[in-house]
Order: sequence, then C-alpha cells, then structure tokens
Amino acid sequence: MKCEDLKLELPGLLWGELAPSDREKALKHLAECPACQKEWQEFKAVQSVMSKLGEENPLREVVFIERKHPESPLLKLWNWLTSPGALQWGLAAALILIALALAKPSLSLQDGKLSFAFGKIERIASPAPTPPPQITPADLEERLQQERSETLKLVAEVLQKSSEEQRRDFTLTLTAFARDLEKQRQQDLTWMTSGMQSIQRSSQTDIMRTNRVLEDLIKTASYQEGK
Amino acid sequence: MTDQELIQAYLKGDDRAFNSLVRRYHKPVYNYLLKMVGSREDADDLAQTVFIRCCTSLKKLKDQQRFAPWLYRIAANLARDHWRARKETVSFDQYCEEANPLAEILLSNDDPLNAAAAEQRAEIVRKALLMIPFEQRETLILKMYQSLKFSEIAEALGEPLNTVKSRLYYGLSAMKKILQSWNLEELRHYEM
Repeated sequence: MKCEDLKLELPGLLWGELAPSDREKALKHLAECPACQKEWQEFKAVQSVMSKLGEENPLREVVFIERKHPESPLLKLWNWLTSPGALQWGLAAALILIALALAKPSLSLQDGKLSFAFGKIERIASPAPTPPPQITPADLEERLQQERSETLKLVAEVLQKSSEEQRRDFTLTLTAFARDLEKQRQQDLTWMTSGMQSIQRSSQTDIMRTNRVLEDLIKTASYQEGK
Repeated sequence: MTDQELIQAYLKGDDRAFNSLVRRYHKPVYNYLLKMVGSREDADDLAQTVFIRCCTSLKKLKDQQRFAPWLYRIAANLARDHWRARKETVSFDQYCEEANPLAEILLSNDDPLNAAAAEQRAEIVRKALLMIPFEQRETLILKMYQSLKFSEIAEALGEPLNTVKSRLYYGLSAMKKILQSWNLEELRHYEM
C-alpha cells in the first residue's frame, strides 16, 4: 500500500470501519512508514481531544401540541387511504377485482344454495336431491381443461371478430382510395383531352394558314410565269 | 419503540409518538447544529425548524428505518443555508499567526480534571471546528459526535462514500493544524 492510498483509509482505521483485509494492509504500511505512523498518532490525538467535547442541553424544549379533537372521519379516511399500507392493499384489491372481472364470475341460486363459478353456469332442472358427487382430481382436471378450452375459444372469437373488423375497415379504405383514384384519372383524362383538342385546333389553324400561304404563292408564281 | 414503530404510530394519528421521536433526537440534532453554526440561539431556532420540517414531510419518507440519516439531511441543509446567509468567515491564517489567549490559560492549568480547563478545551475545539471548511466540518461532526456510519453520512449528505472519507481525512488534518498552532497540550509533542 502506498502513502497516498493510506490517506483515505486512515478515517476508516480510526473509527473501525475498515474491512479486515484493508485493516491488515494499513497496519502493515504504518509499521513500515514513519511519516504515516506520525500522522496516524496525530489523528488519534485529535480524535481524543475532540471526543472530550461534551453535549449541551438545548435552550428550549420542542413539544408538538397534541391534537385535542379527533380527526374528522373524512380526514381519517383520507390519511388511511394515502398511507403506504392502504395504497398497497388498494392496489392488490383493484388487481383482484380486475382478475375477477376478466374471469367472468357468476353467482346463481340452485336448490336453495348459492353457487359461485367462473364462466357460464347452465341451469338444469333439479332432480330429486341426490348426495353430492365425489369430486376426484381427474374431475377437477377435466373441469380445468374445459375452462381452458372455453377461454381459448373466447379468445379466438375475439381475435376473429377483430380481424374481420380489420378486414372490413381495410376494404372500406381500399374502396374509398380506388374511388378517389378513378376520380383523379377521369379528371386527368378530361384535361388531357381538352389539351389535345386545343392543340389539334391550333394545329389545324396553322395548317390551314400554311395552305393558304402556299396557294397564294402558287398563284403568284403561276401569274409571274404567265407574264 | 424503534424509530420505525414511532413513525408508523404517528402516521396512524398518534401525536405522542412524534413527540417521543422529538425527545429522542432533539438534543443530538441541537448539538450537531451548535457545532455547525457556533451560536446557541441559532442552533436552537434551527433545531425547531428541523422538527417542523420533519413533521410535515414524514409521510414522504420512503424507508422508515433510515430516519436518522434523513433527519440529519434536513439539519445539514438548514445549517448550510444558515451558514451561507451569515457570510461570516474566520481566517484560518489569521488565527494561526496570532497566539490564542485561550491556549495560554490552558497551558497554565495543569490539572486536567479541572472543570474550567475542560470547558476551555471544549471552547477551543468548538472554535477550531468553525474554522475548517464547511463540508469537512459537517462530515467530521456527523462521524465524531453523531456516530453515523460512513454509509449513513454519505446518505445524509448525498455524497459518494469516497468523498466522505476524503473530507474526514482533510477535516482531521485541518483540525490537527489548528490545534497544533494553538499549542494544545495533547498535540504539543508532535512537530508541525
């Protein structure tokens, strides 16, 4: 250990907050380095002097006046609701309610008895009272499988419905797009047609003018020859 | 009851629990502030403010087992603000050059058990503490007198662990230099 490294370890050594291995290294260095040993002794002396500084009593006592009247029920409720424990319980309760809502519980009265289950319960005509059937682990497993497959069916229905809706929306969008495209195409055709017509008209006009000029030239040339 | 139990009782509406917490920590907090700011009246006022802030903010304390570092953090912030507002500086070099009249009285009194000598020695240490840089002082006091662990000091001051160790080292060095310059008996045989 170097002298520079020992500096940061001296407070830990002084107050016993060094790990055993670091303490051993520090003590070894102190045994070998007179300058660091001197500093260490000086620090111990300073610590000893400082530790003799006693504590004083405060000039005044601080006392918080206890509330004479009980909190209003509303305030108590608010304090309880906003306390960390209550918030955790509230969150847990909310999660349980959400889970129950998703699992679609149902409550029904059958044969004078309340029954609670997840999923639909089919009401069947109650036969003469029979002793309750023995439920085996196999029955439970079968029931669980049933519930699982019903849930899967439900999920598939939801997915199908959502994909059908998506397809419908997509079709509508495509149709609207095709309609707009057709409108645009018609517009372009109209413009092109009118453009071509006006070009045609001006070309015809030019051609006719050219013809006239040529005819005049020919007439003039024939007249000159005749002379 | 532990700090955590008292806090929970208070949050449920038991005001006596908070007063128990105050009684437990008032004297240490007051003495911490006294060493930090050097004035008994100021330390008294600041201590009251510490507990008022504690009362209003206790609901926000996330880890109730770490009440002490949190409380000292409030005290450290108040002491820092107060010290900066005062803007009083004591020149270290000035004190080193001049002879300290208190040290003369100490040297003339050979009986270490004498109460007056003890009080004078205490006064020297208090003055010396006020002369070292503020950050070194707050760290040294929290370790020396409030007996917080290095990790708790780091938490209270919001500083890394190595910074705490460094401040302790340099704080002790500064105290050594001041006390030696005042020819304090215990450090007299060490050369400056």
